[in-house]
Amino acid sequence: MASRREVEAGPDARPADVVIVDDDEDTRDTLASVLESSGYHVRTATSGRHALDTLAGMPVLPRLVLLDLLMPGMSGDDVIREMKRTPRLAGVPVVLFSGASDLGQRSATLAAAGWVRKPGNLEELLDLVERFVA
Amino acid sequence: MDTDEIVPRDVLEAEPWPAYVLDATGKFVAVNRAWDREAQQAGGPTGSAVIGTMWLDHIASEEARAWYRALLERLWAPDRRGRGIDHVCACNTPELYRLFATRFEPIAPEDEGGLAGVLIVTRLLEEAPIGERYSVAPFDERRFLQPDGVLLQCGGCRRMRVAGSSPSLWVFVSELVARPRANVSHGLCEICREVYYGIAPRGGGRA
Repeated sequence: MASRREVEAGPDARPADVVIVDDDEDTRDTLASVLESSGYHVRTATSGRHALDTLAGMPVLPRLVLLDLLMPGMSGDDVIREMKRTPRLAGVPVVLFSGASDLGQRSATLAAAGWVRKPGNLEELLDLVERFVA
Repeated sequence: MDTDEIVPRDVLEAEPWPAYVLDATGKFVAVNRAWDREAQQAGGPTGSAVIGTMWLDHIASEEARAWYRALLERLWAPDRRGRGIDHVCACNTPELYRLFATRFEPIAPEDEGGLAGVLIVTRLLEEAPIGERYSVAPFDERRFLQPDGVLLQCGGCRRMRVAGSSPSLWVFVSELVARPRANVSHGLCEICREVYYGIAPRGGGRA
């Protein structure tokens, strides 16, 4: 079943500060919970395609996208490339959040705004989001 | 600086888990009584044997030594602004699987910049017969293949989630730590959710 964060939409919804894209439910819920506890408004997407559809449907774009790389179907690499090709989404900062061993190199290749190696931690996550959303 | 001043003795002894202090060069300067209790039980070196020696010299594997050296350098990097580092890993006996969380806390001197030392606390998260927590060779991918076609590895401790396990069961698969595969996706096991993000397990999980 889709969670509230995944189905929430519409012009009346408060604009999201952060969109979290990860195929792993526990990771999505963990990041969303700690960010919401700090007062941020969060949307989540369960796949690359879901992320692009979510962003396309948002009247106000988020201040930050936290993006996993290895996901079934459309990968995070493909998501960020598609965002760069789409004028409306090209300026949205994307930070890679992944366990990939070559994360730094892929971040540079994809021109991402930054990267965090999983698991990350609470302080690192909050510091990161504050930098983009504050 | 007097080494005892890096972390006050009463603070060190208030820690129920083995805790020790390194100075800025990486040398042992203090251990607590829990360290000595653990050392006596496990047959490891007591505090009197390690004080004054270099911490990295007690790590046998060159690969692990390099990894921990890099961790200390990262801990002391200016951009971390004094933040600690948590690390979850297994340290087993021949009979027992033992999963530990280690907290590395940089300690700044009170009256000057730079670094006075590091407080390191290691707590035992889980203990079980070793056969229960390791995949036996040869590696059988079907045991770990998730419904969406990926193998799910915890991004913290690197254990693999057993497919269909409920509550979730995570085990070590040496082959997938040594040689990552393209179809390995990274998540968070319940233990690492708690260690890294402070989110308590939902209950009933074997993590």
